[in-house]
Amino acid sequence: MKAHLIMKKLYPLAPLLLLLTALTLLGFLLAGCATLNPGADPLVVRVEQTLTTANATFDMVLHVDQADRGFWRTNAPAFHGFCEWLRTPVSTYADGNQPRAVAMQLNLDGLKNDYKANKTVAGSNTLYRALLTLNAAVSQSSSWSNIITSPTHF
Amino acid sequence: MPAAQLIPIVIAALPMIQTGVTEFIAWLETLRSAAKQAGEWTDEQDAAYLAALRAKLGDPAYQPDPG
Repeated sequence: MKAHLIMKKLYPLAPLLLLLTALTLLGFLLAGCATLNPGADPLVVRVEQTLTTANATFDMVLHVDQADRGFWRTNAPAFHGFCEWLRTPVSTYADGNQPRAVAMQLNLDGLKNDYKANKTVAGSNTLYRALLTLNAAVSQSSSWSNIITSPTHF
Repeated sequence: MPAAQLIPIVIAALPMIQTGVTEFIAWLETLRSAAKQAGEWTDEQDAAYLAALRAKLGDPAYQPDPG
């Protein structure tokens, strides 16, 4: 049976599948949320949480594109373009040129360690700005992962 | 739709669903572990994170299209 025919038959189940996925995600997150340990800096913990999430999200998106770059280049050029943007080498804080997906994380981790060593308002502002930049890229990656797995284009 | 009619459809769709499921489950697990983080990383955890990040430089998924 051809893929688009399968997707058409599965389409009535899409709301149910979406609901189950949403409930699973909600369950994972609610069950997992934790309060901070005494003495832990909330900004540092937030940065580390974002680094962990970014690492996994970029990995997932880039590996999906890598599975068949030719297909995505032809059928979803904007998605492939975003992946290429993540792969573009850019300069880092201390590691020379690296793919942007890696460089943004290395830079944020470097800024975090600087902030931990010398906690100033300027340092926290710089760290927060870098955190927002990475967060925006992670949000965009998550949006792309929703779009590329949506059956609406069938 | 009767359940019996769904079975062949689900079986035919399995190879499509299989692609990316491992990545998706790993991603969910990572989100969960990030949400559970209650304290700052130790130096060892930070070093392990950086080592894992630098290891990605050999991953073909991180290399741009040639040309």
